[in-house]
Amino acid sequence: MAIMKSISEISPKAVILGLVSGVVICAATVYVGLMAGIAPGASIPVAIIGFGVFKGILPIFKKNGTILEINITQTSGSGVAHVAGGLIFTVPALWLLGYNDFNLVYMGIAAVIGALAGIVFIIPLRKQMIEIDALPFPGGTAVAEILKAPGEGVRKSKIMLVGFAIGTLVTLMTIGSGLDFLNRIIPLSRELPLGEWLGLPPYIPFAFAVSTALIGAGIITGGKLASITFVFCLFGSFVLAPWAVMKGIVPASDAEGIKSAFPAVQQFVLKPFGVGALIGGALMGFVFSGKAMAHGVKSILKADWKNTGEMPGKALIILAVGGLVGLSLIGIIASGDPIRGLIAGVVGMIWIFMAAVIISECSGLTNMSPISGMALIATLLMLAIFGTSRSGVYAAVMMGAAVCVAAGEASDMMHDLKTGHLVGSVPRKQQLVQIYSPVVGIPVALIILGVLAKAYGIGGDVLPAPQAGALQGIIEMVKGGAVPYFTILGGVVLGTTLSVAGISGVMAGIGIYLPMSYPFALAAGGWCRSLASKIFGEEKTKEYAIPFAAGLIAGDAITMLVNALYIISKALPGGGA
Amino acid sequence: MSAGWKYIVAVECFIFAMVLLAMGAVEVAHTGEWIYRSGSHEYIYDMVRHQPNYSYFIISTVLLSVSAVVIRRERKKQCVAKANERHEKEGAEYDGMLGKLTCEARKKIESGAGLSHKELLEWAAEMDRYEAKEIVLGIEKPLYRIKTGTDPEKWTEINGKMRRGQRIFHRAWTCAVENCPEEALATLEEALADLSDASAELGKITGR
Repeated sequence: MAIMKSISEISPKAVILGLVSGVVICAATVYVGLMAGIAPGASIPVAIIGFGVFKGILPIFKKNGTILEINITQTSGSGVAHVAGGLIFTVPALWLLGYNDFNLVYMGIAAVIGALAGIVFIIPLRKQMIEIDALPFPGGTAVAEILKAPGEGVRKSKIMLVGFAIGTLVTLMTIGSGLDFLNRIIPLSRELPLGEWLGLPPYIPFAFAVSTALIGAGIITGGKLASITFVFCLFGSFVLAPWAVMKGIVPASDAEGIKSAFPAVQQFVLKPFGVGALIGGALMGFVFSGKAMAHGVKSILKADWKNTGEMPGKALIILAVGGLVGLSLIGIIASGDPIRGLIAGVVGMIWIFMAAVIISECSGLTNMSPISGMALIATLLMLAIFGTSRSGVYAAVMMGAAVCVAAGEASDMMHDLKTGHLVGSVPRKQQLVQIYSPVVGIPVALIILGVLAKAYGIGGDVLPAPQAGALQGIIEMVKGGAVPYFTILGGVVLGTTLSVAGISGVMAGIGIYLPMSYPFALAAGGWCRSLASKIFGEEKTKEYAIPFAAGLIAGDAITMLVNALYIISKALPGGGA
Repeated sequence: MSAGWKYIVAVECFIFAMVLLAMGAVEVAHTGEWIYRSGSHEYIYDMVRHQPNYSYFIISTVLLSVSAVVIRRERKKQCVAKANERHEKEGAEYDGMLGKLTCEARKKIESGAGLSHKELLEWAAEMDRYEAKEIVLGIEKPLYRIKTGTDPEKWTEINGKMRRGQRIFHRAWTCAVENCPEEALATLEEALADLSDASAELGKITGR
């Protein structure tokens, strides 16, 4: 018998291509995120770059790359680029608060520890989320569809291309800056203000997001799950928001008040209530799936890692303990108080675990991540431990950065593992790649952040840093004492009891948390899929709907990335901006 | 299957309590914030003294908890009944084409003749069909329908075998598409062994 030809999976070319593309997207995300608050997704662009190089360019030189290598490329690239989202949300808040002399190296160390902790904590939950709960992970499923396209026949590829074309066209029509040539001809808004058209008051945010990425995610998620999110979004917008205005939490009497009613309702009522429901839902998830979860975790920790494809349990435990020690040390250095630093390390690690689980579950179900909500709780916890002194705020933001990066990396890991499951990758290899990716991405993001802050300043016209501005608002709110503890507690009660009733508290939480336009678009996608299933049957719909949805998501992701690069090229000296 | 009266009443109570809870949360937060803004340093004491309306909060929490427990119990009953009902209707019928193609592939690999790219793609397409008919309809769906009424450890064990088999099955597909027939054959056999184990274990529970 001939020598068995084995499929190549992890190779230097796959890893290097992933790192290089990841670094480029990471840099673009830092700049565009500070400028416009946009964070273009990384997995799909890197997968398409990998596809182009391994299936388009390399074959010209009589070489080839496999689907599994492209999967490693996208795992590595998205791992590098994903750290930017967590850092631009938190670190610039310090500049906005007037801390101009803080140490970016400590910040980097805290973020690396957070990233590693997030990945290490989420790895044992692969069985729970991907195998037991079988969460759809729309982003991961879309990447798998792209990777599998050439092997699935011409018909499916054509469907995906149609989706891609629609996604690109619609996104171009809604882009207001940069590549806005189509938007100038057909001025389609990124959000349709249905409430305004119907004459609803401004604190009822009835709107529809014109986003093919969300509609595509809804198609993959399905009508049932997306509808749960939508129903609770209605509850938030039509019950909670008007009640808050009626009680006078946000002013609605004068014209200015009405104009600013919605952001205030969202900040003081909907977001805290939604975050509470997310926490309650996640806690009850642990209670109800405890046995199955423990069984899954045990089997991963005890597994013969050479045969099962899992990471060795001992390595995970060592990394987790190292993370705890590292985070405590960072807390001690930042605050100068050993006891508080130690407490912050333990609390920080527990919250990193919780946040990683919540974010992974949310993005697994809906492709959306309530990162700012996790930062809100992290900041509240850390300010409670360190106090609101100068060093306390510094330590709190540092821990917030660690939590945000951890949650982002954990969610990315899960999406990548879902892709891996669908193309038959060995989980251990993807996990190894994901572990070193943030170590590359974090210094890159922080260096660019530091350079941009020095060159343009944060909070000005050039780099307003809107996401960090939101965190600054939270910190000032905590310092001012106006923390909506009871609103959060109300959410916890709702999330907990919903989960007891057998409805996902996490889905409900994200519905209340997000502005209405997002869950509406997600639900619209889900309803389209349900309608198609009723007409054409479930099997046939799945065959066509998934590649079409993958195309829609890819069209949006690629257009947003190209637009980000275009904006940067214009801003560079001699670029014309 | 129609829902029982207990279920309907519990759902109505739950919705009512949810609205009540929202009102309670806003009410208490409002009072707390007002007291804080008034500049008092004895925050907790003032919260009690000014007596914000906690009744919304307490009543809604109790009502939510009770109705949630009733809904959960009723849903569990409905799930088991539904699973049995659907089990009768849906059958996974598969014509055994994958077995035939795999036998042919094995013969060609063992004889050293190899498989053409077209044959490999046909083999992979058949794997897709097999997954939709045998794995999804034959194992995955029935397994999830009995989730509520089965011992969690046993269920997780069967699910673990099925998912591992499914992942390796996907690897076999990738190997076939990527022109690695030997590894495709080896992994396909490994996957089918896991899947047949899972199917047999499932059969013991469902009696199929």
